[in-house]
Parts: sequence; structure tokens; C-alpha cells
Amino acid sequence: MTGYVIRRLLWTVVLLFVVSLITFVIFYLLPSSDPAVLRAGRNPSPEVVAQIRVQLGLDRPWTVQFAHYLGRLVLHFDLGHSYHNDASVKSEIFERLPATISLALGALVVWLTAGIAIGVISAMRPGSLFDRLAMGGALVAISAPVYWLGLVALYLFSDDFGVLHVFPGAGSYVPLTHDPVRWFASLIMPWCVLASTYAAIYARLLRATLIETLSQDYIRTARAKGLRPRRVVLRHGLRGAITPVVTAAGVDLGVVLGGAILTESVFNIPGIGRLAVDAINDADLPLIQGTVLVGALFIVLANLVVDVLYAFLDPRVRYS
Amino acid sequence: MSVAATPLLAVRDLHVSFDTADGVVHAVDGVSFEVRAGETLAIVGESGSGKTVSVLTIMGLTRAPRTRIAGSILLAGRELATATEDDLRRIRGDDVAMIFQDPLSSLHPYFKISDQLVEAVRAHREVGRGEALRRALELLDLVGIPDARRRAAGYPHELSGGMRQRVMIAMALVNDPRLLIADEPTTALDVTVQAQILELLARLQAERGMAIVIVSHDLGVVAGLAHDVAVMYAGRIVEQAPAATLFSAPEHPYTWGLLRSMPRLDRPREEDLVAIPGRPPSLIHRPGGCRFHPRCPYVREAHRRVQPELVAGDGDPLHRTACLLAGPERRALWAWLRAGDAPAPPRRASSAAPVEPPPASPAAPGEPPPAPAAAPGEPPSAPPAPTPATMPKSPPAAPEP
Amino acid sequence: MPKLSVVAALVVSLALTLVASGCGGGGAGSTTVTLNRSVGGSGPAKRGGELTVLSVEDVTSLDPGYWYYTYDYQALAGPTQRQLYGWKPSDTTPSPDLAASMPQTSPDGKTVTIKIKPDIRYSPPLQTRTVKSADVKYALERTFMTSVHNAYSPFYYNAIVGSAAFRAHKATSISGLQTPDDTTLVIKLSHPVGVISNGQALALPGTIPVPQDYASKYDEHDPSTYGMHQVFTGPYMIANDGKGTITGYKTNRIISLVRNPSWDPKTDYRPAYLDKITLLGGNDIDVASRRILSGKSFASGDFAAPPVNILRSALSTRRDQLAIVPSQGNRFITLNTTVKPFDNVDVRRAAAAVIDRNTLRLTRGGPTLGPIATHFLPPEISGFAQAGGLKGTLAFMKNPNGDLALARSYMRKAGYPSGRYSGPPLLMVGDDQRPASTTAQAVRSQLEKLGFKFEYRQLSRTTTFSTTCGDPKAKVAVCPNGGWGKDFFDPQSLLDPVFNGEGLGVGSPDWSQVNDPELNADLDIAAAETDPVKRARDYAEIDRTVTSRAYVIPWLWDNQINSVSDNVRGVVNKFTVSWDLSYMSLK
Repeated sequence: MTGYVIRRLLWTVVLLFVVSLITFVIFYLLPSSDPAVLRAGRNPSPEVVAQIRVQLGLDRPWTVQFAHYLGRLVLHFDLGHSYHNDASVKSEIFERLPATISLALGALVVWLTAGIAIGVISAMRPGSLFDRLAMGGALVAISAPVYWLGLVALYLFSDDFGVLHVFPGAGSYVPLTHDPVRWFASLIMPWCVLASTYAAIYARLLRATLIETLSQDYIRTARAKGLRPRRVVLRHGLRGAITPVVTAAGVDLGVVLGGAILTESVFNIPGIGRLAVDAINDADLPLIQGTVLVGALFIVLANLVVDVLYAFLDPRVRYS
Repeated sequence: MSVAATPLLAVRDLHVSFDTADGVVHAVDGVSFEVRAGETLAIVGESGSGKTVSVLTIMGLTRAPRTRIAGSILLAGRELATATEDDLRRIRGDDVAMIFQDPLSSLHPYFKISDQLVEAVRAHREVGRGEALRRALELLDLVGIPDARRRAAGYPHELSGGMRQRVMIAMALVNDPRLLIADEPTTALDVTVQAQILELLARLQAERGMAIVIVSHDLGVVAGLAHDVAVMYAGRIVEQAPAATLFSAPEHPYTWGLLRSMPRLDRPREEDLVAIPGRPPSLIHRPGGCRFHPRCPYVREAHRRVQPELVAGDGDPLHRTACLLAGPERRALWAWLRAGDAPAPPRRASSAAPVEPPPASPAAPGEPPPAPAAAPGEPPSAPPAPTPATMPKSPPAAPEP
Repeated sequence: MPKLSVVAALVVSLALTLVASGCGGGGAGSTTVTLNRSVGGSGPAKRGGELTVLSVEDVTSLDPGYWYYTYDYQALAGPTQRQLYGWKPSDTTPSPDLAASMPQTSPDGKTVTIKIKPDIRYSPPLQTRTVKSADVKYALERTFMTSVHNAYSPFYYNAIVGSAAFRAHKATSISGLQTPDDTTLVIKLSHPVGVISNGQALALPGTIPVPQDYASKYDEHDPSTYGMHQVFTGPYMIANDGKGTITGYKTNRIISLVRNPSWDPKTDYRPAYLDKITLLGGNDIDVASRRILSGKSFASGDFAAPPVNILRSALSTRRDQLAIVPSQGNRFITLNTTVKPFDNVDVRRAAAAVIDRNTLRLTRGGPTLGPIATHFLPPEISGFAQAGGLKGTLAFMKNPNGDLALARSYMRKAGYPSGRYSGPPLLMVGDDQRPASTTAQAVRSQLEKLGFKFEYRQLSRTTTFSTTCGDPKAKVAVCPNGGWGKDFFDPQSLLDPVFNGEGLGVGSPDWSQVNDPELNADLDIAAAETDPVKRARDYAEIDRTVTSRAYVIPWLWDNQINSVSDNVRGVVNKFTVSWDLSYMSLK
């Protein structure tokens, strides 16, 4: 197992290298903005643009720039500086991470709780009124754009202009260390909005796998043992059906940690997603690279965690 | 036969049907049987004959919103058919336990064996984990699992098929049930292991005095174990008798078919398997008259309209048959069949599959029948032991609901 | 005590009415849009309280030497700093701010002398220091430093004697900036510069004083880190740690403005009612607009107007929370004069004639968004009236709904007998964001009526700006999403960047690639003109020239629509065309 994890981590390094190479190549080959011109401001003189180009190192071939970038990254864990405002990309990212992690982990809790609860109740009584309402609602939640859900939530519940003044609205995020109560309150709506689609997907996924699991022979055995129905479903059934949910949750968490752009935008949460969007708008290659790498790292690590978790979830799986 | 003894389990006129999208499936249609403590009842039939549904219904495992159950199931005088779900739950795994066909899929793949056994104990006994584990290990020992403590710490996939079935048996017996239901307990196992498991069941029964209901599609499997045999077809019992009687003097053409499809040591394997032609009928649109008539080589016009009752034959009140052929005629037919010299059966032109006459037996005529007459209650002396690697294939069947 | 009389005069609504041409034909007549610069009533304003400004983006820099965009002015330059000359909300000419009076220009126009108020102090940690003329000199020198990237100096300050040597690192200071004493700054020019003499170019953030001994250690960094350590002269300052390091700023998140303890109201014309101003960036425009209109104590920041759907309902139910003002900018379609067939003036005129400007305006929200343009210079910029006012003078710009017959006749004149273009497809690059993308699509289909075929690409604004329309080598034939705004109330800042071919290069707004030596000369002559009346006339003449040659097709003189919550008394500054935070108050 340890060997397996080490090999996977080595592959992660290779993968991140490829990702950052691709980012570089895309930046240079596809139509994009010229960062020197953007930094030079409105109506710049050609000399100023040329100066900035030298200053940012953009005058050198992209291969040299890439090698330079990698060198600093490997030797000093230095992600470079923003073309746009010269801020350290590493510190920008570390400053944004807590918000994204808060949003992602909280949403994960919400969507797993809601998705599993709804999925289990639906699977226990397929075709019941609850099941039909829940699955209909899930379809709505899956089809509804997150952006739209966010706006609706704000218009209904935000404490400054909502119909009901319930939760702190957009821009109310504060770091956990700053004010835990306000941190929690400000994230309630973003968590629910971000979680809604996932909760719906997970409820449907779990319902389907649980219904299938409940027809398995070992569930019949559990019933034949005289276990209480609740124990049959929640221990034997859920344990058998949870694997795809855990797999999906790991991967989805990795994706969300890479930045939940729409949710962060609507609720004005200073996370990685918004940083990435700003970076792309500003043609800010070092920042784009940084956010892409962080996102890729989260996704790759999440996949690794899922695979390792698999061995614990399913004793039949063994890695060597 | 001790008629005075109260049966442990008495099933009377049991009906089970399922509402499905395709229509109502009449899986069990008026079945009665009983089994006494220390004795074994075998229920035999093809897939879809209702045998498994019958035994699952005893434990209430077929209960569902779209299932209709009627009749009476008395366990030690207590009515189970109308018992509450919670009362049934208390009985399951305690008074009545069950083992299943495929021990791999019947054990939870993600839980340790010890946990699965401990859970079974603690579902019915207010004991601590340690005490439950001690009990579990004791049972694993009892069913012949070597190094039980180490095995118990493992997962089902780490065991062989036979070991898994032993685990299932240990788990079933962990609360000392009075009745063990074994649903095709050896079908998924290879033949040598089959024999071991059957032997184990017989030994455990002898030691503990529990009643067993064993369900199988294979008469050969039950031959060494059963005191009584009930043959089911299309949801009904078509023949019921003490095992010795049934093997020596079967009276129903379907039973003949089953017997003749048994592998036998004394015949070359190319010739020993005579399948019953045709397929079990749909349980939604059941044939009128005798349910077996579309496949019966001896069918007459009246058999398509009149449904035979399960009645005792001439002489032996314990041997009951549901067949419209006259008793002497049946006995004559069986005698011919046993002699390996089938009479040309009356044929319908539309018959789906022609009955081939049994191949000429290499054995001399007059050879002893497979199951010589034996005293009732005594285990038949020579039921053919299953032959390795020549198990009959189950006929294709409608899936059981 | 605030100067109440001044305040009362300022908050009086300066409503004026513009009549814009409405939809032609049918029942639709002319539509009247009422403009207003202030909301929330008149009378004595309340002191104190906190206002929150919501913006979509952030200021571009904290460094005064870098400030360029409207939001930099609104959020920072206006409330936290003082330039030599500043902009009172209703004025179109600058007023002395740090300066004690307007600049004195020598008869030859080459020496400009400015007197500075003696008693203006810096914010902590330099609270004991007063602003000296040397600090302004250093600030102006900074505008030539590459670590500061000032965008104005190459255009407005390059006539200062010695600036070229300083820029080339051949001198350690600019010889043409002299400080005979602490309150006097003398600027020596190589030739007369109208916008320095009239104070307009001295009302730019480049004149915000920077104490050299304090700032030089920060200016050694490239880019300079002075912004994060700056000292303030305005009524407010970004919260700092008392030692000079700013704590009240987080990129794209928040700018926290508090009162500057060193600020003395007796030296300033700004009332500064509010105690605290919090500027929050990174907002979704939809959410921000809704919060401002329905919430309390909010004001709009960097966006020109609420989204169309919110604007529509706000206009009917919350009109008194909106200030609709001319943005002093314009929107236009550029036709690349170096790409066939747009090298032919008649083809360009045909294109101008066929464009249905009314429809284009509808893609942005209709008449509220501003009058339909009939020439280049927008309202409120000097020269606007002389260049044709609202009506305009040219036949092919006359019908706001487009004139297909006229367009066809221009095409025939250009050598297309059928009145339709026949030739290879042309490259067109439009914006990929609504509503600009909708406008671009409309332009495309309108031009197709003349037989033009397009290879059409949608790209982000920054890409369009720097590598397609803004790159002469890209040879983009049509860019439907052009636009330009003023630097100050002078037509030079609108016409020169867009049409003077001497500034051509990547990132130049001259997307039509116009480079006509005669026109360049005319622009240079007008720029040197110091007499305001002649100056306006010269630029109006240039406007008529470029419009009649149809280098660009102006179609809208934008309005900016600023919004506040219903408990806020808002005052729009005519210069920034957005809320003047130093004049805002709570009810």
C-alpha cells in the first residue's frame, strides 16, 4: 500500500508538470491577451510596453520562461509573481485557500448529509410520495444553474435585501479565525447553494445503488438474522451502496477545492475560483499557472485519497 | 410413524402471490406441509416451482406491499402468517434460521466474519461483544472451520466456497434455532464439498435435534438427509411422501422426471440424465386443469380441465399424490420406466418437445430399482449418491419473483 | 464646521434635460430622459455614519502615480489625496486644491508657476510634516519612472524640460521642475502646453505630493511598493498600522477608508460628511445592484449601470435612487482603414449609413443609456456644440435607424454597381460578454445588408484590446465594440488617442489604424492651443473631419447610471461621472 501511494504521488508530480506545460503552451499558442500591454494601461507608448515585456521576462522564448518557472518552483517552491500587480502568487493563493476550503468542506458536509438522507429514505420506499417529490426536486436542483440558485437564495434570505432577512448575504464572508459565528452564518447560503446540485446528484445515485443493494442476497441474510429494518438498511445496505458515493464525493471535493467559481462570484467569497477568473481576465500567466496547479493538485490528491479509501471501503480491493 | 407428536412447523393452505407490472404471479398456491422436531422435510422442484417462496414466507421474508399472503403458518403452535413484523423479526435468526444457496453473495462482502456472527448473536441476546464473539467462535469450531479465530478476523472473500457455507451455517445456528431452513444449500458448491455440507447438516441435526426444511431442485441432494419429501410444481405440491417411499415408489409423472434426471453412479453419464422436456409454466397465466399437463407424456383430454387434488393413494396415508391418472396405471408406468423400457406415451401433436424414450439400459432388466423399497422412516439405503461433475443442469426457468 | 453655503449650492440638483432622437416610424415618438446629478434631497446634510460602496472589480493600484481608471479616482484619488488642482462635483474646470491659486503662465507660454498652500499635513506617520513644492516635483518625476507606470506623462508632461533625460536615466531629477521655495513650483516647458496652463493636466493624480525621503526606498522596487505605504493628504485615508503600512486593503476584496486625522477642513472645499467608507470589490453586478437599491447605506462603484432588468424596474419604482449622467464617453464601430475595402472612404460612409444605431442602443437598454451619437465628441466636452451638438450635420449619420438607400448609393460611388459588396470575407472581432456581444451581433447583421461577409470571432475584452483590434498587425477589418472616455474636460483627451497616428502601436485605441499626416498635424496644433474658445473650435473641426471620413461610426454617447440606497444622499462628480464620496452623506 505504501509503495502504491508513493508511486501514485510520483505520478502526481509528472501530471502536474504536464498540466503546467499545457497551461504554458495554451497561453502562448492560443489567442490571448498580451500581459505587457494590459499592464501598461490605457493607450501605452510602445517603449513602455517593450520595457514591461523585458521586466516580466516576456521577451524570452516561452521554453526559457517555462524552464525558469519550473526551476523556481522546484528549487524554492516559488510560484512567481503576478504580471498584473506583482503580488506573490503563492501568498495570493494561500490567502484565498481558507475561503475556498471553508466553502468546499462545508458544502461537502451539506451535500453528503442531504444526499444520503434523501437517497436512503427514497430507496426504502421507492415510488412513495416522498420518493417522487424528492426525485422530482432533485431533477430541478440538477437542472437549475448554480448562479441562478445563488441569486434566488440571496433575494429570498439575505439580511440586507432579501424578502426574509435571515442570513448574511453576499460579501459577508469573514475568515474563521476572525469571527467563527459570522463565518458560519455567512457561509450557510453558499454552502446550501453549492451543495444543492451535488446533493441532488448524490440522492439519485445513492437511491439507485441502494435499491440495487437492497435486493442483494446479503441483505436477505441480514433480514433473516432478525436485524431491525433500520439496521438492515443503514448498516448493511448503506455500507454496500456507499462506495460510489464516496468515490464521487472525493472527486467532487477535489474539483470544488479547485474553485467554485459561480458560488464564489455570486456570494463574493474571496476564493481560488474568483482568483482564477480574475487571472484569466488579466492574462496573468503566473497566477493562472498557480490556480491551475492548485486545482489540479486537489483533483489528483482527491483521486488518490479516493483510491486509498477504496481499499478500506472494500476489503476485496488490494493495491500492490 | 408417531402421529401424536405435534409438528414443530405446520403450514396449511399457503398462498403467496405478487403483484407485478406483468400481472399477478401466483408463486405458491395452496401448499400444506409440516415438519417435526429432529426431522427433515425436503421440498423439491424446478426453479419457479414456488419452493423457495414457500420457505421465505415462513420467515416473513416475502412480505412486501405488493405481496399477498394467505393461509396459516404455525410454528410451535404460534401463528406466523398474521404475526406483526416485529414479532417475526424476533423469531428470525432465533427460533428459525436460514441458509442460502450462494454463501459468497449471502455474506456481506464488507464486514468481517466475526462481526457478522456477533451481530447475529446480539440481535437476539443481550450479551456483550466478547461473549457474543466467544459464542461465534464456538460455532465456527462446531461447523468444522479450522483455526476459527483467525478465520473470523477475515472477510468472506478470503474463504473457499465450502468454508463460506460453513460460516453461513454457523451464523444460522448461533442462536440454537429450532428450525433451520436451507435453501439450496449446496447448489453453488462443487460436488465433494456438497457431500461434506450435507453430512454436516445431518450431524448437527442429530446433535441438536432441530428440524430442517431443505429446499432443492435436486432429489439426489436431499436423498440422504430428508425424512419426508414434498415435490412442488407450479406453486403446488404434486407429491408428498416419506423419502423412502418417494424414491422407491414415486407416483407422479413429474417426480419420475426428477428421479430420472438424477445422476446415477450405476449408469454411464452420457445416458443417465433424462431431462424433463418443456419448461415450467408461467405463474401468471397458469395452465388449466393439471398444471403439469403441457409437459406430461401421459396427458389425457380431461387433465386439461380438472385440477387434481393432493390425496393419499391406496394403502399408504402418508403418500399423497396430485395426479389424475389412476393408481394402478401410475404404478405400471413407473415399473416400466424403472425397467428402462418406457412405453410409448400418448403424444399430442403439438407437444413442444418430444419425449425420447429412455436409452436402453446396459444393465440387465430386472435390476434393482434405484431406491429399493425400504421401511418407512428408515433412510433409503441406496439413493444414488451424486456423481462428481455430472450435475443436471437446471432447466431454463422463469425467474422467481 | 462644513461650509454649509457651499454644500447647499452643490447638492442642488443640476438636472438638465436632453432630448434624444427616438425610434423612427410607427407610433414611437421622441423619448425624454431626465438627467440628474444628485439624489436624496437638499438641505443641511448629516455628518457621520458609514457608507459601503460595491464594485465589481478593484482599483488597479494603490500607487497614486499609477491611478488611471475612473474607479481609481472615485475610490482613492477623490477621498484620500489632494492634487494641485481638483474637481468640485459640478465643475468642468479644475479648482486649486493643494495649489493656492490657478497656475500663472508666462507670456511665451513656456513657464508655469504654481503656489502651494503652506499648511497641509500628511497622514500618520508623517503627521508632523507639511506638503512642500519639492514633494510635488518628486511626484511628477515619479510619473516618468518605469516602476510607477504613469499613463499620462508621455502625453501631457513630455514637454517639461529635462523629462526625456530623466526618463532615460541620464539625470537624477527633472531640470524643468524647479522649487525656489517650499510653496512654489515652477514648470519649464519646451513648448506651450494648453492643458498644463489651464490646470487640467495638473488635476491628475501625478501631482499628488510624494515625500521623496520617505518614498524613495519603496520606489526602488519594481513595481514600486509606495502604494502600500503611502501617506495621505485627503479627508480620508486607507487604514494603516500607524507606521505607514496599509492594513485596510485586500486585493479585490476591501478598501477600508477612515478619517485622516491630519486633514484640516479649513484648507479644503470638500465637506467629508461620512466617518467611514468601506469599498467592497469582487461583487456580482446583479447582486450588487439589488443590494444597493434594496439595502441601506450602499452606493454603486465601478459599474456604468445596473443590469437591464434591474434598471428597468428601478426606473419605475426607485427613480430617486438613480443618478443618470452623461459619461462624457462614446461608443463606436471601428473600420480598419488599412484593410480593403475600408480604405475607401465611400465604403466606410456606406457602412455608417446602413448602421441602425437605435437598435444598437436597444441592445444596451434603450434611451436611458444615452443619446444616439451623430459625431465623435460627446456632450459636456468642449467642442461638442460646435461639432454639431445632438443633431449632427452629416447626411449618412442623420437617420438613427439606418438608411439603406443612401448606403447603397455610397457603395455604387465606391465602385460596387449593385450597391453591394463583393469580395472576400472580412475579419470581425467582437466582445464575448453581454451586452457588448449582442451589440456586435447586431452590427454584423446590419453590415451584411450591404453584402459584407464576415469571419466573425468573439473574444474577451482584454484580448480584443491587446492582441486583435489593438494590434495593427492583426488587420481586423471591423471592431464593433470600440469606445473611449475622456481624461479630463478637454477634447484632446478623446480625439488625440483615437486618431493621432503618431501613437500607433499595440494597445493603441486607434483601431481604425488612421495615420494621416495632415490630421496628425491638425491634432498637434490644436493640442498646443491655449485659448479655450479657439481650442474648442479646432477640435470641433477635427471631429467633423473624422466623422465625415467615417473612420469610426459613433453610435452612442453613454449615460452612466449611478445608484444608492434610499437612505443615502448622493452627489455625482461631473469629472468622474460617479458618486463623489467626499460629498456623500446619510439621511
